Amino acid sequence: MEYLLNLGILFCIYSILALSLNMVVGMSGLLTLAQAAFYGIGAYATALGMTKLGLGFFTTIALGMLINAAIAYAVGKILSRFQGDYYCIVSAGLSIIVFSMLLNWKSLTNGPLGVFGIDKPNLAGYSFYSNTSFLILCFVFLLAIYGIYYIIDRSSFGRCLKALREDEQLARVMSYNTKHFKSIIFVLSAALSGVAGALFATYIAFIDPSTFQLKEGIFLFTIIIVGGLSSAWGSIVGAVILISLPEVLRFLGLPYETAAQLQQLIYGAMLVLMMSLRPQGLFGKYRM
Amino acid sequence: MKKLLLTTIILAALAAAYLVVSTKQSERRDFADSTKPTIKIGTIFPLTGNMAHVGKSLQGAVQVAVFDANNNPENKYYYELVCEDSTLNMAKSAAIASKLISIDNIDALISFSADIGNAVNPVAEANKTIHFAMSVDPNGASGRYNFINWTMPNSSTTKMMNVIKEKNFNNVAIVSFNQTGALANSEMLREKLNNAGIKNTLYKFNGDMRDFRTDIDKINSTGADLYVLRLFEPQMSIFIKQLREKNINAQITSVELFGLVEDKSSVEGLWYIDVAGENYDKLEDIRHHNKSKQDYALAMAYDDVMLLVDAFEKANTKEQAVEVLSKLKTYHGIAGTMTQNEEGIFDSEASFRIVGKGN
Repeated sequence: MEYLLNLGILFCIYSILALSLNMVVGMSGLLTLAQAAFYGIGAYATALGMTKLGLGFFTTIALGMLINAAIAYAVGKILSRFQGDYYCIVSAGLSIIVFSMLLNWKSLTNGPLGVFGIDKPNLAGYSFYSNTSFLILCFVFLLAIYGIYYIIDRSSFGRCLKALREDEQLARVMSYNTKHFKSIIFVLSAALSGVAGALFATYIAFIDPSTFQLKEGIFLFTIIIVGGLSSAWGSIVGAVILISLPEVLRFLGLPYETAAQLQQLIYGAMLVLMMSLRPQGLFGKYRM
Repeated sequence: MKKLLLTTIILAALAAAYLVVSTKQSERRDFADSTKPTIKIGTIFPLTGNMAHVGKSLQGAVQVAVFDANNNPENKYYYELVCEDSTLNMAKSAAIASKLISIDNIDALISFSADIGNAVNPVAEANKTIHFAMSVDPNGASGRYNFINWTMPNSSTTKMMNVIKEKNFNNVAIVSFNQTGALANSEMLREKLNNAGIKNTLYKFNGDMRDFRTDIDKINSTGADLYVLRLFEPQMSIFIKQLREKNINAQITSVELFGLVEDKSSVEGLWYIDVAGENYDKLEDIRHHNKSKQDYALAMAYDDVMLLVDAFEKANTKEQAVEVLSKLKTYHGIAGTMTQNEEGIFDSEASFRIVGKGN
């Protein structure tokens, strides 16, 4: 049961990340690999806010979202000049810069030694110490972010984003300020990723920069591709599949001398299989 | 598309078949009576990815320890291993720890690396399960159920300082992997060098670095007469090879990590400061079992199991075993004598070693 609760928490955290990433990639067609950077900034804002400044969990979430929004706004100004592959490369650059800062800005982040002793969230005297209560908290955040996704998806703003995704030039001809739309969705997505970072920091109770590398951004990208672009359900199902598949493989009863390698092999083969059978992802509404 | 699918399936099947066939049956056999009550020990080592070579050799060491424990007829318990792959991922490791505890019903846990130890720590504490972290970060031992067994940086850097002073080195280049454990050691050594007034520079490299040639030129231009390498493999071997190519005659040494080098010819005859190690016959036994020349931290992994065995044999319940471990002041293992402090850290004295005859 404890194990399932732990997996449930991971599903929620990665679903939040996938939903926020799908807003940029799926809804708007902007290829970004910067999500791991915002995830990391959110996690560090909570970790440092709680351990160094003595702030409450919910205050640090807001702080992380604000920092992410500010950085995303500044970076978004540059990013919104790019399209397609170029956008992807610049966003990957951002991810590398943030990782390097987390690793090397020792006076602030404690560098590779990380931040230890992050407390579980506390609300009006109630501590989310048990895994059950923490899972409920994560689920509430997931529902809220799902709601935000749903509202945007059905709003005129969401339709503009989809227009931008289908043909940016045409959208511009129709007098839409595409740079402005790109910037807004990037800021919103970054801020929401900060929530996942805050939840992760308090769940693990220790963070170091190794979690927030570019490869984490690629993993998140894989989640939304497998689940399906431009689909809220796809983001959640993608997260569930990619988190649970390696866990399911642990129960195959393989000889433990080679179990880890065999599990990776099967995992890789299943991904190839899934993508061959459904290239648009399980719930995909849009294909790159 | 069909071709791609077919090729993938065939390749995956071939690789799987190779892995299964190449897994030879262990030469060792348990002679102990397996009807005895069982104590399960879970391990969370990196078995895939960049550090898989370390995880696999540590897994071999704990296997040998469990074989030895089960072949002791005086032991009242039968010991069983449940090995899981950490993939060096903190979030997954926390989930794996809870899987080992709640599904495999393990009685104790051993983890490797500072970040994984820190991630497993709260899970072990919440579930009242003994956890040994092979880590240099004291945070890994916080709480009643968490312990560390390692040669802490103070011991290895003090020993290194003694040798540096004895051999009159006066310009030290510390070349370090930018990671928790490696940097803890490197930065402490730097502090001691500064206190002793010995010129030094710390060069930090990320784990994916492979071409050190321009950096070697830069280090060489500072006139460094000793290179202290704190790199993992294959970076260590690559750095040494690229250094040799440039005919640089400065002395090369390491804190702990020459033990990771598989092809010992590149470090033959070099001295280094290793983690504690005393029973080299047993280490050779483990290396033979692993069919590998690596001996990094093998003594620690073996002793972790033996510390657990010792505690469980003296106790009737898990709580009593924690009590036994907490009260243990010193323990003599194959790493030598280790002393436990109030934080739950079993610290041991570093050893001075010279790589010889490929060992």
